[in-house]
Amino acid sequence: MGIGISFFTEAVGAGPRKDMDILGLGMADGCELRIHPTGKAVVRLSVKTQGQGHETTFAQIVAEETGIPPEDIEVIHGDTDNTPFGLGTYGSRSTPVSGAAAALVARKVRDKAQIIASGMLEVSTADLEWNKGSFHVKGDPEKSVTIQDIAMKAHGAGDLPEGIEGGLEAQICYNPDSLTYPFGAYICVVDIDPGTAVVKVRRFIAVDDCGTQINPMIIEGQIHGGLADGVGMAMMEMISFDEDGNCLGGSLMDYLIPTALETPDWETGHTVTPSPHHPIGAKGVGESATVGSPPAVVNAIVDALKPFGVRHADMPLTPSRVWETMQGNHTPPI
Amino acid sequence: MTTTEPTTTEPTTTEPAPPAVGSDGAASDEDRPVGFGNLRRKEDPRLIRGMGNFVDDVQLPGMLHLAILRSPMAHARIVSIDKSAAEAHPKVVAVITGEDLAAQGLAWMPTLSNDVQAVLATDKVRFQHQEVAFVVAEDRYSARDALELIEVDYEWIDPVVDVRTAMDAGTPVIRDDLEGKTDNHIFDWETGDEAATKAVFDNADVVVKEEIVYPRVHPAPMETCGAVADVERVSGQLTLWCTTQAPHAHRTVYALVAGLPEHKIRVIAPDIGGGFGNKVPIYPGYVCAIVASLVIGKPVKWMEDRTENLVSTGFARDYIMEAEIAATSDGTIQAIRTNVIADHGAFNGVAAPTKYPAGFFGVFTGSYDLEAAFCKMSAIYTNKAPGGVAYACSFRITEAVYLVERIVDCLAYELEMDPAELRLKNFIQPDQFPYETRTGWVYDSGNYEPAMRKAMDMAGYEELRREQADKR
Repeated sequence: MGIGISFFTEAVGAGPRKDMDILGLGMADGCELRIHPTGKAVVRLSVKTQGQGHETTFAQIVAEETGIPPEDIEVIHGDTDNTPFGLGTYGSRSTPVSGAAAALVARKVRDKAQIIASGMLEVSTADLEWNKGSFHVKGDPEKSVTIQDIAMKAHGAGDLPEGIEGGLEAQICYNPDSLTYPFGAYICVVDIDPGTAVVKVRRFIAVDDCGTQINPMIIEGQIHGGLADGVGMAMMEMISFDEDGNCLGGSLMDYLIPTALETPDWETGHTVTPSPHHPIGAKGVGESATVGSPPAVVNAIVDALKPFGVRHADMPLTPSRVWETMQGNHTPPI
Repeated sequence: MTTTEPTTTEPTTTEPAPPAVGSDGAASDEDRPVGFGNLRRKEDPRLIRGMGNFVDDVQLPGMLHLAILRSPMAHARIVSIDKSAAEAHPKVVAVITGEDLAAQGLAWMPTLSNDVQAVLATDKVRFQHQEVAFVVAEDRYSARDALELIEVDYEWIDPVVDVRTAMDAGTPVIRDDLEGKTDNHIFDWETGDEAATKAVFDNADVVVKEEIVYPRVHPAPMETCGAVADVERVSGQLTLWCTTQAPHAHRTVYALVAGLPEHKIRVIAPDIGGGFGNKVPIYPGYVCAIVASLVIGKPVKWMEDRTENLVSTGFARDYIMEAEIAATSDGTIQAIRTNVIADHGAFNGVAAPTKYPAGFFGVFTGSYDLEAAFCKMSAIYTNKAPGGVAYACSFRITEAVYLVERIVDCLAYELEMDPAELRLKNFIQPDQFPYETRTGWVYDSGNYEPAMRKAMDMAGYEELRREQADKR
């Protein structure tokens, strides 16, 4: 039986353009938000989801700032003809960079909405209070207008306050201040069959901190996926080559990836330590579990082999590699 | 398939899902928060009904299919290619080799790391399954059949497979395409303070050294890579449906390489079935599809199969890390030092910011308050597929975290200390944030102990250790 701990700090959200570029393209990202006359919204992103749930989470970011329900917010991404320039999704950068852009562009729109509302309610903007989804006059909550009312007014007949153009939209290019640093504490429990050297992952506990949580359910899904990656890498996966350079990992029969049979029920939890420089205090989380889990699993297996005098063993810890290690014949995989 | 009542599965967390978070005011119902909270995914209804729109779903009138002939050898000179039999296949429209591309200046393309990579091999092949030629045919089966009709004469060169000996004198030079290249070295990199770290190590009570390997792995996304290229003859407009995580960056690279203005290039990344970094690079297959469409005047689709994805696209890791940790005898970690050999494959195709050739590996100092740290790294070419940064590595942070968490456990082993206690003793404290590490990274915020204690609590850590002790 082995217990392995891994505590990780990650650096995600590349990144400030003065430091970070790929092929000379600075890693700052644009975002555009437009609210239509009937109060429905379209947000255009520079990043590109491959399953992370951006169509939901970015609608939620805009909803949080504007009070427009996520169902009424369309997220557009992936088509270079219809979206602002940015460096894309990888390195868990979507929330730190594009998420910040979406929050800030929504605030820009809200600021304009406040001015229009002040015209509608015939008070100064300083006399207005925001209550997610509507502005009301301080001390007189009955006198209020919703964001939908404001959107119609922005496109409708009648004058707008001085200096304000029609429409309700904004764009931004967000250059991050710095990276964000999510972290986590992972604990893995394994049982190794002494006769066959087969490792069974009995339990895996993962506590993650990615700052403000936009959608806890989606975060949990991201963690589940990454933890499965970790079990795979620690125990099963390797692209190996023979001495002639033949690639031996060319099919899923050779390159084994984990299934539900190899993974336990994941036990997840979280703490929240916001990022001080991110507009919504959020950090990235997409890669946290893939980063933090392999050492937890390997540490657990090595811990289980402590009675054999083992201090270290290299991945992938397949049954045959664990067996050799138990016999005192550990070799590195390359 | 039988239809059953839909069941809902409760998430297996040990704590209840938090209530819909949001500022006061908006009437948020827990299932439909207006803002943060557990909103069900808007994209799921179409995705789980098989109504997504992936690159392979794209069907255009007159669309042709492209298949790639790949080298069976890891390192070999190309002596000759005879494509006549393939061209004679009734369903084949074109067969293109590296020589054909070279005539148009298209045989080589830039990588994301300021190296160059062959689109189709010209002089020699440098990894097994490297792209050698492509066939465009009326259907994908004919395209594949025709690959077998292409005859390539290779002349064996000893492959460089072991990265530990790739720099030994007399080893074949892989990148003889690069002017003045006499060995397989790519770059050296270092971070931290070598002298300060040496001083700490020289005076430390305890030093533990271990070689820690992170072998080559692959993201293996469920959907493999592919593209549909459609060059409109009259306007010169290129529309490229592509499995890309970075459509705008790709568009600019194509603009620079093809000499086309960006407004003539439209990159569309539709639904993508998993990326994990595997879909960041520009692959030869994409360029082949574009060239084919340009030359033939019809849309061309290239969709790789599972094997092609595993053997030729962006892999991850392949770091051999010699790690050392210095500590006091009561378990205060003082320094970490590491020497790394990085295997990048045959071309440097790592996707990492320009000033960070080793990505963010500098965070190998981990979550601990160290006095000193130093890393020296050599990146080396081998006769393997190019890549290295992928599989959710966060730009080499998987490698860095694995290094520090493994070597800290090795220290715990030597000191006979509980690994949780050793970590708790050395965490960066909340009042130290923003915290600058010994390698220059400024951590914005962190509160490590509560997270650690929470995990230990959820696990029932004390009980688990008791159970383990009983079993021994």
